[in-house]
Amino acid sequence: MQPLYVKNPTKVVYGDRIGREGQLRLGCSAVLLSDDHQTVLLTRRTDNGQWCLPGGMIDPGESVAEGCEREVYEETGLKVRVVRLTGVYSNPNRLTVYPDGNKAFVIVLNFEVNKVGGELGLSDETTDAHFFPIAEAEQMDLFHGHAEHIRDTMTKNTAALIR
Amino acid sequence: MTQISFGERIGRQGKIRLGCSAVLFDAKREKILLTRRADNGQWCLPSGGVEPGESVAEACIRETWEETGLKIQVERLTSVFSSPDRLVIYSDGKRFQIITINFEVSEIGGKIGLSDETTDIGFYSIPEIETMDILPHHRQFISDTLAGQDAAFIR
Repeated sequence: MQPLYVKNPTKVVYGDRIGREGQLRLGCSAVLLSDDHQTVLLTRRTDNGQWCLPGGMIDPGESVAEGCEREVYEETGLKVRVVRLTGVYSNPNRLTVYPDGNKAFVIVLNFEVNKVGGELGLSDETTDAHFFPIAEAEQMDLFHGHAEHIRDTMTKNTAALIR
Repeated sequence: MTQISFGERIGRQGKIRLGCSAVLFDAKREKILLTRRADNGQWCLPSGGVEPGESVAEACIRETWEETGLKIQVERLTSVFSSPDRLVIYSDGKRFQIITINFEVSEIGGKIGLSDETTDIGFYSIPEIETMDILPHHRQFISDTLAGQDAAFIR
């Protein structure tokens, strides 16, 4: 049975320089691969049912690595450590529109992370979480363009990509 | 005048703001471009805030052009600085924890000059920079860039 999603979920819209209409917010996402590097952890959003990488916004009073590790823990129950910054995503032609009408230009730092503890579980923000084969995840319509973050991580470039 | 306060998790008292900065070497790769801020006399890298509707690379190019008159392109991302123990307080009372992405950049045109925000500008050698009053995290960015490491430093 499909879960019931809220009527007015968070949306991502695209258009020429549409990011100008929002307030700049800094977010993060995390690529956690299984030990055999064959699968990647995805979570399913409560609000719109879309799959995505674990992640969220950086809060004042924390570093970007702390923000990423906190968000993964809150959403999945897994304790992780940031290994490397794989890219910064700052597409000016993208705008995030929240249910309350607020608009944000979200710039995202994507990190590759390693598991250091915890048990995989669900949270208020996620209805499902599991590891998908990487080739499948790279082709999925993931929230906020996260499939690109996975593809970029899998290139195994040491340097962070500037997007 | 802009004030900077340090303290454990003091960033909690502000909002997050995203900035960028640029390390530009001279042709011999011996000296680095620095400007002197009009408001407090400190030396710094070309830098500023990222605006909604521009990419981080565009912001770095725009800020460098506005502050130095030089046209640059972004080459690589060297560091992210995100200390939660630093708070910037502007003259209007607004408080921010500024997270800064530092890029190594290269010059592609323009003519070096001063702006409204700068009183001095020039390329300085590493020994010279060691003796100058420079924003501490910008000093860190310079050493990160000189480290020549491919992976970005996460700070």
